[in-house]
Amino acid sequence: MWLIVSNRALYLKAAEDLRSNDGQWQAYESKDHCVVLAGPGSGKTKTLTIKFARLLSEEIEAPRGVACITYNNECARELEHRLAGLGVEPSKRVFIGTVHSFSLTQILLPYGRSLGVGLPEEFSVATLQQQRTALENAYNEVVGGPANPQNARFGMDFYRRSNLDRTKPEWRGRDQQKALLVEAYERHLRAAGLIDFDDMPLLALRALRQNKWLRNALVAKFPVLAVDEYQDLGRALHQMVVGLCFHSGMRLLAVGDADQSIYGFIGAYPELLQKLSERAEVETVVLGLNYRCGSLIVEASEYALGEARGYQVPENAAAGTVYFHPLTGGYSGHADHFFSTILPAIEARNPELTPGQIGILYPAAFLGDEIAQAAEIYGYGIIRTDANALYPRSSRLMRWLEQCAAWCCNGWRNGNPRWTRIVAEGTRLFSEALATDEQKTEFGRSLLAHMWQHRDSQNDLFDWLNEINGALLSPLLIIGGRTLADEKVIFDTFVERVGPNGDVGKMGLGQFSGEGAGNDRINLSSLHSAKGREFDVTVLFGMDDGRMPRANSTQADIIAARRLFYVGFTRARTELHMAFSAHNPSPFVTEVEERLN
Amino acid sequence: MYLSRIKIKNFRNFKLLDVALAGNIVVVGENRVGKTNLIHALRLVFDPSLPDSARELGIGDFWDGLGPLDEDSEIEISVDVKDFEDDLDVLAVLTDYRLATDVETVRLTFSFKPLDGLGHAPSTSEDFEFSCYGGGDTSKRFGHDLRRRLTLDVLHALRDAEGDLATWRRSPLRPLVEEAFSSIDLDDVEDIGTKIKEATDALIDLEEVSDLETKIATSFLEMSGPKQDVRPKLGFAATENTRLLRQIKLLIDDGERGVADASLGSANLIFLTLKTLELDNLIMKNQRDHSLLAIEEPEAHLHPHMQRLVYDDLFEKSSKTIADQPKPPLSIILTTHSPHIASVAPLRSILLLRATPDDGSVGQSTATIDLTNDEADDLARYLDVTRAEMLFARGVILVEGDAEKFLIPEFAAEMGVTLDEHGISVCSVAGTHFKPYVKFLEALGIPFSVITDWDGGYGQKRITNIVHLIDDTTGNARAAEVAKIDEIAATDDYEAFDAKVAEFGIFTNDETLEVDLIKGDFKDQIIATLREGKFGPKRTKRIDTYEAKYTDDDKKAFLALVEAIGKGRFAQRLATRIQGIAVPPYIAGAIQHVVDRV
Repeated sequence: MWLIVSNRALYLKAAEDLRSNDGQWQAYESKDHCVVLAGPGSGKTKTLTIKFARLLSEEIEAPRGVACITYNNECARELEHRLAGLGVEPSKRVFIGTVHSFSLTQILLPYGRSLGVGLPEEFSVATLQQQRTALENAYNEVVGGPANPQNARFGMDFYRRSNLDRTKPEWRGRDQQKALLVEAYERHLRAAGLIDFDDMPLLALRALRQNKWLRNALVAKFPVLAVDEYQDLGRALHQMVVGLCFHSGMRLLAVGDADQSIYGFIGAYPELLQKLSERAEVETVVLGLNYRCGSLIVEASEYALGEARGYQVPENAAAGTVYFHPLTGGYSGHADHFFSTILPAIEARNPELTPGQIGILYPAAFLGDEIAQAAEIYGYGIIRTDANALYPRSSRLMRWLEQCAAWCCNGWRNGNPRWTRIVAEGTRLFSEALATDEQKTEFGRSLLAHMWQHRDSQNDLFDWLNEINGALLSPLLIIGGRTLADEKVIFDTFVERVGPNGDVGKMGLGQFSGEGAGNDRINLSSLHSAKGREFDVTVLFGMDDGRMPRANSTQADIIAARRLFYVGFTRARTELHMAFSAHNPSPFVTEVEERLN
Repeated sequence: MYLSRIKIKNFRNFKLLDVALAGNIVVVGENRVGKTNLIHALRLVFDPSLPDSARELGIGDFWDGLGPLDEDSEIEISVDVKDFEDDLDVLAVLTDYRLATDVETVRLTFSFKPLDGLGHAPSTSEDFEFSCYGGGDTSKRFGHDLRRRLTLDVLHALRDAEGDLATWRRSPLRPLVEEAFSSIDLDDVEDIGTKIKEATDALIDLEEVSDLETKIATSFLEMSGPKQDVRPKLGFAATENTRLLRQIKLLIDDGERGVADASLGSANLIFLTLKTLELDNLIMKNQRDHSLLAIEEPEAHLHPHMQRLVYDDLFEKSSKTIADQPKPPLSIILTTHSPHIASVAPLRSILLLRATPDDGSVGQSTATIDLTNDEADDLARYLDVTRAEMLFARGVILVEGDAEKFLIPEFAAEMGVTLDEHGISVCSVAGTHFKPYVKFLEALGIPFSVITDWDGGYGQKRITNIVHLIDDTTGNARAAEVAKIDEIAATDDYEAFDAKVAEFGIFTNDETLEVDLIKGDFKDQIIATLREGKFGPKRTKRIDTYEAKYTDDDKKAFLALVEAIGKGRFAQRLATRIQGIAVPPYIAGAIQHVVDRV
């Protein structure tokens, strides 16, 4: 189990690809702290994963390992997938996950009460309802009055994430009411034996500050810490990184792009990455070659950002095209026009293109509803990734169930997905509940027995979900309560929605099994969720003034909105389309158009 | 890292053993007290060569005194580890298993108990399961991954070292040779193979040899038939280069003889040498982070001098500390009957096991004994072979010098007591510095008495100090009695004082033993013994005077005569003469005190 790099040839071969790119090769050869500032499409994930494989194979010896923290579960899964291709299999030596799961599984769960940060003896992760109750109690205690306590949530969370050192007078000084609200809210959670998601990095950071032994233990387990999407990971992680890497001996490998920082509204600060790269002990590498977008799109993207970056494309790269679509008739009219006119033209230009290579990105979920309705009328399948999606794409449990469903439909016959992978992923998902080898074996056995019995794509999804829940999931979700609480909420909500009284209506197993995969459906995504993805044809939908940026934006909001626009812009490989109201285009669109002409 | 505590519950000899440790462990105790079982308990936690099927214990592995088993019956073996933060590899392996209440301590537990929700009293071993977990938290399982990094190797008692050395597969030489060969180019070896082949061919060229070879081959073929023919040849060795390394043998006496010709002792020594080299190698290649080397009864076949030399060196190796370097990645665990080995054992490594009638075997260790540095040095220095006997005794009589050492067994015989039968040793502290010995014996729970001089009143302070010490080390259970003794000490009531301190096992003579005896009932015997000294006329005359009348003024000159003969020799000779005379009461008291307690 220690020999996790099963085949050195795989990454050594892959590394040859990096040799011709000076920046990528420099990062691959780095021996100490290294910060990679990587523009869009510059192969940062590729560089990171190959370097990761090299570290595990050549530099870090068992029993020590490498931890990789990334923005969300989706990114973690992507990294895992790529590492598997390089011969790196998950093991005790490798951690890949979010800053929340790092905090929870590497700090809070293993050491609990010994950390001295007020963790209850047995704690679990609060459900949304439990968080609401705690906030309500705290609000009545600290603020009072007739307003809806839940409205205080956003401000409280932001304050909590941004002001980390509570021993300083500024903690209460900046905004006493918010500080007291946070304190009361946390007190109510703890009294109920709960922590919430924001608690995870905050408590972990406090634990690291207070306990030298904990810092030493983490350095022992993970002499190297890799961080992907650094610009979006927030202050708590930044302080953890500074403490562990610059004061306790851990080595840092950070990758990010401040221009693509789009989570400022929940407490991310693009300057933190900049600060990191300016430290004397850090080797900074800039990846400026864009392998993704056509040369014209790269050029236009600098107008989109409003900053000159000097990014280049490889020789012989296609130019790509930027299209402007001033539309009328409200957003339903825009959506209709897209399917009736724009899409047929795209298909005519690109006969090989499948719907899966098209991405429609928008700034708000209700715009997704408009497009989804139009898609249905025109007979196109869609995969949605936004707040109104059937369930969050980042849910590991739902993604695993999709795989199970796919196996029940056809997988048992054609071996895709492979059964062993389903069992392995399930075992990892429920690892907290499956402690012994016997339990793991038993899990695999009963899973197979259940799936074999329900292998029919005609199954009603609601029944199928209820049966698998009754037969297998419910006890696992209860025991795995601490790590799977959020997954359970997602699961229950989804079951309700596809049930007889739900808003989605009847859904078949076959339809569900295709949710996560398949190239036959168009991708619908919020601009935020499009981070890290790429599409041959990218459509930016609803690029109107008042949405991009929003009405009444401050100067800072405008800068943040501009970065979001830039992120959407740089998802495109060959065609970038901007759809907007003819009479009210976003100033960003106008600027790009003017400068291109 | 070091093992700081072991707790064994309901396993074989042990109802409950719970002792502090200080790294290396030297387990002493009588036969059948559970020394091997203690090693086996450690194997259940740490030995990767033990298959999991061997961790599925049986009902017979429960402590006999437990009575009928029920759903709560559990065998539990817990080992605590401390100082695991110096070596980052060790830290990475162990950090998850810290105790929630004490982050400086890692606990590793083996548990064997009835299946959850069994619903009835367990009746067969099928009803049980084992688990290995850390940090006192049953959800934190550990297994082979940990055992491969922190490994227990056991060298069993009376092993066939010679046989092991001769069998390639079992030989501790094998991994060393394989390691050495791993960096050699096979082509280089081929040349050697060719030369061996040439030598073999030259041998066969001798007519007598080739005749013999033909003869063997023909008769074999006749017996086996062509299908089973193995085509026997005569030669020195297989010559194929990949097999060549297996032909490497360890030779002794500058290569004159094979190891089969070595004495049992040398073979064992060679085995141990190779084994420690192998452990070093494993750690150097980062295939392992810490070795726990358990050796059962290493004294077997080893000459006493060798025992001390070899194990002194091994202990030295495992406790050597170099500034700014992590502690050596080696812990030694020994079981032994040998005072020679005990005499070189680190002071705080002793773990004494003792059988009790109702509670199975219990243990006490010197790990946490409260000694000042000076006292520890003293004790370590004094813990020579004779005094190391203390460890193997059921009871001890501590005395000031050799005279008592020789005479007390004879006095005991007069009382109808054979000290050896009772397992009682008389140990001389060569002076009056009893304190470290008292601490040591109290820590190990060995009953003892002390015979010391009153020294005309100078001894009183020493005696009250010992009383205080005994009470302090046993949790001040007899504080009232101690206060009483302090009270009496302030008066001149010496008889009451003597009687009181005797209850603490301290017995006083008025003066040096020989003086006491000559002034008492042993005058004739002492005179007779002195006369054996064959002194010249001047000193013979002095003896005559004593015979007529011995006074206190004669003390110095009298003791000088004893010294001239030699105190020990004098005592030995006197010992043959004391039959039939009443044993001095304080000596009888000291003997009886220990006899009553063993």
